[in-house]
Amino acid sequence: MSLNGAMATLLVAAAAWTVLALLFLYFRAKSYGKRKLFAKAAGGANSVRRGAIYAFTSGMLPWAKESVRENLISYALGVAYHLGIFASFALLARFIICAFGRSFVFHLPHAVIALAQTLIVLSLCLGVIGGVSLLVKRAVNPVLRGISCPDDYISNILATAAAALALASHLTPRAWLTQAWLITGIILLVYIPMGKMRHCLFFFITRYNLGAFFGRRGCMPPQSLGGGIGA
Amino acid sequence: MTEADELEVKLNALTQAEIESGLAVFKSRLREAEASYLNSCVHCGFCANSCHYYRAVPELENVPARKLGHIISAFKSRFAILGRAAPGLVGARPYDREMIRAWADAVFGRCSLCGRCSINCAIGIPMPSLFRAARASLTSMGLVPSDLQAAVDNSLKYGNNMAIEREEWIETVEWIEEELQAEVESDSARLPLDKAGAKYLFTVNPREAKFFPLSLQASAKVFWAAGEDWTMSGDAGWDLTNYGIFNCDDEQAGAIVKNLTDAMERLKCEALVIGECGHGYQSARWMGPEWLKQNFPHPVLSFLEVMDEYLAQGRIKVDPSKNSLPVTLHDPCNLVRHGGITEPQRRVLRRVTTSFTEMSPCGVENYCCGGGGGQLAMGRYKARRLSAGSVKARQISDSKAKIVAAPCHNCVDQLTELNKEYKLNVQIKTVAEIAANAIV
Ligand code: SF4
Ligand code: SF4
Repeated sequence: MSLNGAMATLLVAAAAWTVLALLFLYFRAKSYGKRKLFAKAAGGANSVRRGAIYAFTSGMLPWAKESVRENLISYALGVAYHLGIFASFALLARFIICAFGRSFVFHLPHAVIALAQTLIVLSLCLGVIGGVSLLVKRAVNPVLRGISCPDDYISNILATAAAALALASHLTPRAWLTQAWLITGIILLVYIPMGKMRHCLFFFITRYNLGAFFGRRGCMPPQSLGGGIGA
Repeated sequence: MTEADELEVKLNALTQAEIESGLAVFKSRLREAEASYLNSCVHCGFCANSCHYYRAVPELENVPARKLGHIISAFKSRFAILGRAAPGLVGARPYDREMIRAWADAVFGRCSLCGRCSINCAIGIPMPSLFRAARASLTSMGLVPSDLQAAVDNSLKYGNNMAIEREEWIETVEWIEEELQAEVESDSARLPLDKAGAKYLFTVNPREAKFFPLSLQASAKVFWAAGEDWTMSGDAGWDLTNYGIFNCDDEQAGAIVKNLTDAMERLKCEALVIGECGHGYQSARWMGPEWLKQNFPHPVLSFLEVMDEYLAQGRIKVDPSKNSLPVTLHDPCNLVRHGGITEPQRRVLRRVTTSFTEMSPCGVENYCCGGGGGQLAMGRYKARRLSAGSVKARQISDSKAKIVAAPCHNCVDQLTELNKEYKLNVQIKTVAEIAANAIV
C-alpha cells in the first residue's frame, strides 16, 4: 500500500472512530430518557417547532443576541475559525477520495474548480486567523483563562494546526507538509469526541432543546417578532 | 452563628453517604436534554455580560459558564470516561466538600435562575435547568439556606408562605372589602371567599394580605368594575407563591401547588387566575403540571391577561390621564422569559397611562431585578442581591420614569430596596394598582 493509501486508511479509521464515539456519547445522553411534559404548550401544538426553527435560523443571526451584538469581533472570529475547520475537513475528504483512486472534480468546469479552490484557500486563511486570535484571547483574557481547561487549548491548537497545515500543503505541496497535515488531521479526528469539540454533535441537540423549551412557553420567537401568545 | 458559619457547620457534618446521595439526586434530575447540556459548553465566555451579577461585579465567579463549570466538573469527574481517566485535561474535579461549597455559592449565592444567560449562550444551553438540579442536590443534603426553606415549610404547614392563619386571612379580606366599598361607594364591591362555581379562582401573594392590602384592593376593584364572577379560597389555595421552585425540591413544590388544584376542584371554578407574580405564574402554569405529573383540567391565567381582556372588550372604562406621570415596566423573568407573558401588561399600561416608556433592554431580554430565584428569602446573600440589582437600577434611572410598574410582588420588594439603595426616587406599583387608579 502506498503512503497516501495508508494515510487515507488511517484517516478513514479515525473518522469512523469519531462517528462511533459521538454515537456512543449521543446514546449515553439519550439513556437518561426523555422528560414527559404535562403543561399545555402556549400558542398551540406548533409552538415547539416554531421555537426550534427560530433557534436555528433568526435566533442565530448576529443581532438576535445581546452577547453577540456586544462581541461582534469575537463572533466574526468564531465564524471565520469554523469556516477554516470545515474547509480543512473538506480537503481531508478530498484527499481520501483521491487516495482511493476516485476524483469528483474532473467533470466540473474549470471555473467552478477555481472558485472552489479560492473559497477553500480563503476559508483556511480566515480559519487560521480566527483560531490564532481566539487562542491568544483565551490566553490573555482573565475571564476566558479562568473558565478554560487544557482541553480548550488543545482543541484550539489541533483545529488551527489542521487548518494551517492544510493551507500550507495546499499552497506549497511538499511531502513532509502533507504528511504533517494528515497526521494532525488524524489526531484531530481521534480527539474530537474526547474534548469540547464534541459540541459538533451536542450543539444541535442543545439548540433544539433551547428552541423547544422557549417555543413551548411562547417566548421564542420573541413576541415582538410576532411569534408569541397574544401577538 | 452567622448564616455563612451555618453552611460550614452543615458542610462539615456531611457524611460520605450523604454526599453520595446528594450527587445521586443531581443525577436523577437529568434527562437527555440536560445530559446533552453537560457536553455542550465551549468556554467561549459569551454569556459573561448577560448575567446581572457579572455586569455589576465583573469577577470570574459571576460568569454563568463558571457557575455551570463547577457543575460540569463534578459530573465529569464521576460520570464521564475521560473525566475519570484524565481529570486534569477536561477540568474534572471531585464532588467533595470544596466542590459542594462552590455549588452552593454559585447556584444559591450568585444566581437568580433568571435564564438570561440561556438566551445569550453561543450554544444555547438552558443553564437554569442544571442550576435547579444542583439546588435540588444541595437541598437534599440540607444545605438550602434556612430562611428559604422556612418559607417552603410555612407553605406546607399553613398553606401560605407567611404562616397566616385562616382567621387572620379572612379578617384581612373582610377589612379590604370594607375599604374597597368605601372607595367605590358601592356595597356591590366584594371580595368573595369560597364561592363555588365562580368563573375565576383568584390567588394572591401573602405579602398583599400582610403588607400591601392596597394591591389586593386594586385587583378586586378591577374585578368589580368588570362585573366579574370571581372568588378566593378561604382555606389553603389562596396563596400563589411556591418557594419549592427555588429550593428545587419537586416533591415539596408539588405539594404546594396542589393547594391550588385542590381549591379549584373544591370550588369548581372555570380558570385559575394567578395574581401579579412571576414565580407564582411559572409554578402554576408551567412547573405545576410537571411536579404533579398531570395535565391541569382548567386553564391557568395571569391576572395581566384577564385585565388585558377586560380593557380590550371595553368591560372596564378608564381615564388614562389619571396616570399622567411617566411609567416604565419591569419584566419579571419568571413571568416573561420563562412564562411567556410579555404583551398583556404592555397593552394594559398603554391603555391606562398617558406616558408609558420601555426600559432598555426589555421583554425577553430584560435584566433580572436581582430578587428572583428566591434571593429575597436568602439573607445570607443580601449584599450581592443589592449589588446585582444595580443593573436594573441603572435601567430605571435611564428610563426617566417616575413610576415603575412591576407585575410581581417579589420584584416589588427588590425594586423598593433598590429605590432606597440607589436613590431612584420612583414609585413602585403593580399593574393592577395603576389600572385601578384609572378606572372611571
Ligand atoms: S440564570 Fe441569570 S443569574 Fe443565573 S447565571 Fe444565568 S444570567 Fe446569571
Ligand atoms: S456562552 Fe454558552 S458555551 Fe459559551 S461559555 Fe457561556 S455557557 Fe459556555
